[in-house]
Amino acid sequence: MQKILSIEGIKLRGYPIFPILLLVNVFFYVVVAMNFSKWVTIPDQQDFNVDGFGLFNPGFILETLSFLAGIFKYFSVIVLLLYVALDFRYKMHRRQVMEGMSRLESFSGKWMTTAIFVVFHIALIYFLSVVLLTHTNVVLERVNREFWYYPLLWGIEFLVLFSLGFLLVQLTRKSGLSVVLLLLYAFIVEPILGLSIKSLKPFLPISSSRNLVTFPLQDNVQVLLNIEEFIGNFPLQAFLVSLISIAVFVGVSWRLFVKSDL
Amino acid sequence: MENILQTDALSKKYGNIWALQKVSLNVPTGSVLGVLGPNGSGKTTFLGILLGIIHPTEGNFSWFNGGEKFLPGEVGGILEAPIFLPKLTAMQNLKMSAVIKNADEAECRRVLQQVGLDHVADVNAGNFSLGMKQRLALGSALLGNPKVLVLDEPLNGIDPEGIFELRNLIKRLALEGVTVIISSHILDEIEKVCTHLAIFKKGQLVDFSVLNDTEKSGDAVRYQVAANVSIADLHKTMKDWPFLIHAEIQEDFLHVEVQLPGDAVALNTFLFNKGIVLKHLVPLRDGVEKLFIEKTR
Repeated sequence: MQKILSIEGIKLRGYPIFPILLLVNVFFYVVVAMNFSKWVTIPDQQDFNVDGFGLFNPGFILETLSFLAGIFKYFSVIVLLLYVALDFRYKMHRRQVMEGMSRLESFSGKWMTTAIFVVFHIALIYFLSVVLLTHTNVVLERVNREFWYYPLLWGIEFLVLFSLGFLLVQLTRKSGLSVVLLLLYAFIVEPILGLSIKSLKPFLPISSSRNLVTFPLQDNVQVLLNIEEFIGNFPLQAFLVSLISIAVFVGVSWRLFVKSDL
Repeated sequence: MENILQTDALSKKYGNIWALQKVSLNVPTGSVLGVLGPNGSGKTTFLGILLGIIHPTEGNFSWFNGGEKFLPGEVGGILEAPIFLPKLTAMQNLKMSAVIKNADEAECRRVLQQVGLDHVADVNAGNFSLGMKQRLALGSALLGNPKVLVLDEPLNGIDPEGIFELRNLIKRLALEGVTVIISSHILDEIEKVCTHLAIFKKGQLVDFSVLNDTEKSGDAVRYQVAANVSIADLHKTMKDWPFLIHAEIQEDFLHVEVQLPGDAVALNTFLFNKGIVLKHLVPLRDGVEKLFIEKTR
């Protein structure tokens, strides 16, 4: 594993555009999170009520930031897909296998990088939450702990989109085409499918993953109007469909990688 | 001699076209096998299969009397165009291979020196000429002290001096026991370094021969001879030798074709007994070029 990560580390130095895009990506998260909090937080938040209305109330901050990260995941996925596709462009898999690496090692190198990328972003969401909470002089104990898992659900949401993109890269071996196909599917094909066959919608990968981190106001309103006591309804079906989607996309990608000539 | 590679009916089909058809051969340990064939004859497909990046449609092969897999560093390879990340320096590119092959930085420096690129170790590979990239690819293949080198067109883009150095390097490696499998269109170079020859045509192995082999029973052997008598007298005397098949005068030499077991020793003994002392006796072999043309037409 250390060997694979070392190789990926050396390769990253050969893709100077990747760290730049990664920085832009992180910059988006930070700037938007910081400014969005100013736009929507009610001014007298110093004496806030956990159950009060406000996207950046401590009770909802993890959900809000995860939701915002969900909007920006498209850019993050594109950044990572460009990196994955470069290995095909420069025939790195061919070189690695020729030099004695197994196909599994070569394949898993990209997924290890992806795992680090996702963990980094999840940590960034938690970090930004803490910064925002500190910024508003709120004691951390008042954060709604029922929402702790939202950044992790964002990770799953990200992986659904990325694993589909990864599969498209395997099929096309071209970064630009893969990105176009991915966006076409996410914004046109799947919504049309969902509208045409309504019973299918809960089982479509992108739609399900979007349901993992719900729009925060939805919960706020429910709490505000006392429609129901919100205790963090875990989106079990969306979670399971997303996990299965990731498994299928990765499985098919692996199959293609193993069976194809490099 | 033990075989380092055995292939059994290796075949590869792309769509409806067989790029390789039932190729079976054994490569002896320490040999230098030249792989020849016209464009599209299946050479690169064959070498790609051996390096594990192309799946055979049928047949199988084994390295080191084991399986199709080899350990990092056991086999070094170049296939088609050299593969490097252009934004990394020569040294950084080599380090990537070194990590895979458990080689250290000192070894990277050694191979860079070996392929004549030590002075540009810190230059980005993207700025290299094709010849320099080929040298770097060779350096990468040499990392880890491989037992086998598989080189597909390694002379592409290399200048005459580089070709001379590469030829000497291959000869030296062969002496050290490294098996080399090399494809090239430069037949003269193949002839100079190879001990074995595999000729491909339309995906088929049409000839597998041992170069310099005069011991094959039943084969005819040709010699270029000159002696302490005139060529005409030598020609006349030779006609009495029972193993002679054919003799003809070519400039200052007599070219004789003899049937085994009438070898060089027998020929020398026969002439010595006739009072003739040889001053020139050189075995002639059909050039690789002639063989190549014959087999691929």
